[in-house]
Amino acid sequence: MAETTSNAESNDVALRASIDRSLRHPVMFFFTSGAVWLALAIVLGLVASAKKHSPEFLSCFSWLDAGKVDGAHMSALIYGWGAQAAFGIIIWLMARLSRKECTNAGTILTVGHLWNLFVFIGLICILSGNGSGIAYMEFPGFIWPLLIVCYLAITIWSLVQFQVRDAGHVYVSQWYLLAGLLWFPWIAVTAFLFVFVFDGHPVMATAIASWFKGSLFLLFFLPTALASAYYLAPKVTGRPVYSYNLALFGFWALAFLGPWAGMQKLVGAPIPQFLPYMGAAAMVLILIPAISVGLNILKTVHGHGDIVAESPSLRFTSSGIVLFVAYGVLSFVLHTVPAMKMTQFSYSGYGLDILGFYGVFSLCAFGAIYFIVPRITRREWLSRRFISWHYFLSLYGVASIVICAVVGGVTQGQGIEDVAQPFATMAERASQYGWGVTIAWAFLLFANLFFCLHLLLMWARLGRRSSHPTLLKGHHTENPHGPEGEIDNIGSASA
Amino acid sequence: MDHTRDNPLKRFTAFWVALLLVTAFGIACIILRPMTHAKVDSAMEAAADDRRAVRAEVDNAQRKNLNQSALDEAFKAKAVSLLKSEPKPGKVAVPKPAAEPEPASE
Repeated sequence: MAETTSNAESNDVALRASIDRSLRHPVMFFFTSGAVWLALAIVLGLVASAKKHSPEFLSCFSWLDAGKVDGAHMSALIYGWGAQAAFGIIIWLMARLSRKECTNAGTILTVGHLWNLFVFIGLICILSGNGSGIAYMEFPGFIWPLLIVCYLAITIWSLVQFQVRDAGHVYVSQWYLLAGLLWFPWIAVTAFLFVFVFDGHPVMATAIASWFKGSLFLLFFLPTALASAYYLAPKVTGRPVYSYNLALFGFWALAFLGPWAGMQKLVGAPIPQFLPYMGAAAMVLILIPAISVGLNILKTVHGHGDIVAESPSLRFTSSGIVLFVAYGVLSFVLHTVPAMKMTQFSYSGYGLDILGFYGVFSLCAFGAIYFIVPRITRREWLSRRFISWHYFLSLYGVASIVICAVVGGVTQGQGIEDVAQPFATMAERASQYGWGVTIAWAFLLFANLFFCLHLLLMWARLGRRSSHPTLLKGHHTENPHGPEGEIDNIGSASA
Repeated sequence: MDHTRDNPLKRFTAFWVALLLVTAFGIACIILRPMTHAKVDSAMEAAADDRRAVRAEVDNAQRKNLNQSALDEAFKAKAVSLLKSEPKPGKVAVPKPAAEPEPASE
C-alpha cells in the first residue's frame, strides 16, 4: 500500500516536472519581456505624470507630448506587461490544473514574439502621433486584429488542454481562467468592430470604447489574478479553500456585474442615460465579489501569518487580495451619484485604474511569477533582499499613487464645482498631488528595476541551485538557502 | 493518460470548437450588424447635406470667378511699386502720451 502511494507520488512529481519543462521557454519569455515592458511603462508613466504638473518638462520632444506619452504609458502597461504576465500565468496554470503537458510551446513562443512586435509598432505609432486617441485602445486600428489573432494563437491551447483534461473535479482557478479566456475575445472583438470597423455613430463608438476600458480589467485581468490567488493560497499554506460556496458566489457575482461596468464615465453624454448609471451601479456592486473573494482567500491563509511573511508568492498575493477589497470599497465610494458628479473630470479615475491594474492584478501576478519561475527554471531566486525591496517599494508606490490621485482628484473636483473660484486655483491644488504621483512612480521604477534584473538573472539560469525556496524570513539551521546543487538530483523544485 | 478523454481526435475537435467559440462573438456581430443598422436620415444629417450643397455651390462660384493670372499680375505690380516707394511719415496723428500725474504730497 505504502509502495503504491510512493509510486503515485513519484509519478505525480514526474508529471509536474514534465509540464514545467514543456512550458519553460514560452512562460519565461512572457514574464521577462513583460517585466521589461513594465519598466518602460513606468518610465513613460513618470514622464506623463510630470507633464500634468510641469507642462514644460521635456517639451522640446514633440513625441513626448502629454497626450502621446499618456497613451503610450497605459498601452505599454496593459498590453506590454499585463497581457504577457497574464499569458504566462494562464498557460502554466491551465496546464498544471488540467495535468497536461503543452505540445505547442514553439507556436506560443513564436506568436509571443509577434505580440511584442505588434505592441512595439503600436507604441511607435502612438508616439509619432498616429494613435487612435481612444483610451485603452490607443494603438491604431490595424494593430487590433493582429493582436486578437496572436491572443487566439497563444491561448487556444489552454482551452484544448481544459477540454482533454482527466475527468474529475474542476478547480476554482479553472473557472476564472476559462471565463477570462472567453471573455477577452468577446470584449476585444466587439470593441474593435464597433469602434474601428462599423460606421456607427461616433458617440456610441465612444460608449463602447468606454465599456471596453471598464470590462478589460474586470473580465480579463481580474479573473487571471483571482485564478492565481485561488491556486497559490491553498497550495502554499497546505489548506483547502475556506468555502467553495463563497468562491462560487464570488465568481458568479463578478460574471454578472463585470460586463455592465465601463460607461459610468459618460454621465451627461448624449447616450441613453440608463447606460452610465448601470455602469455606476455595477461598479458600486463590485464590492460584493471583492468582499466574498477577499474573505475566502484571507480566511484560507488565516492562522498562517508566518507563511505569509516568509513566502514571496503568498505575501504578494495576499497583498493583492487586500487591495482588491480596497478596490471594491473605493469603487463603491467613487461611483455614488454625488461623488461621480465631483470626480468625473478629475484624477481620481486614474487612481482607481492604477489600484486595480497595479495594486490587484500586478501584485497577484508578481506572486505567481515568484512561484512559477523557480519551478520552470529549476533554480531558486537569488536574493531575498531584492524581493523585499520589490515588495515594499511596490506597495508604497502603488498606495501613494492611489492616495494622491484620489484625494487630489476630489480636491480638483471640488475646485471645478466651485464656480466662485478661478480655474487656476483648482489647477494649482491638483498640481501638488500630481507631484506626489510622480514621486510614487519613481518608487515603482526602483521596485521594478530590482524585479526585472532578478528575473533576467533567473532567465539566464543564474539562480541558486538548491531545492530550498528563497524565503523572506529564513530560520535555517545550516546554510540559509540549504545545500547547494541538490536541485539537480530531484525531478523539480518542491514547496 | 486517459485515452477516452485525451486522443488526437478529441484534441482536433476541441481546437475547432474553441476557435469557433472565441470567434463566435465577432461572427455574431458581423451577422447581426445589417439587421440592426438600417439607413437613418436624421434631421442633423439632412441639415448637414444642405450645408454641404451650399458650400459646394459657393466654392464653385468662387473658383469660376477667380482670375488667378490677373491676380498674380496685380500682386506683382503692387509689389514693385511698394519696393520703389520711400517710406514717408504717415498722415494719421499719433496721440502723445498723457503727462504722468504728480506724486501725491504727504
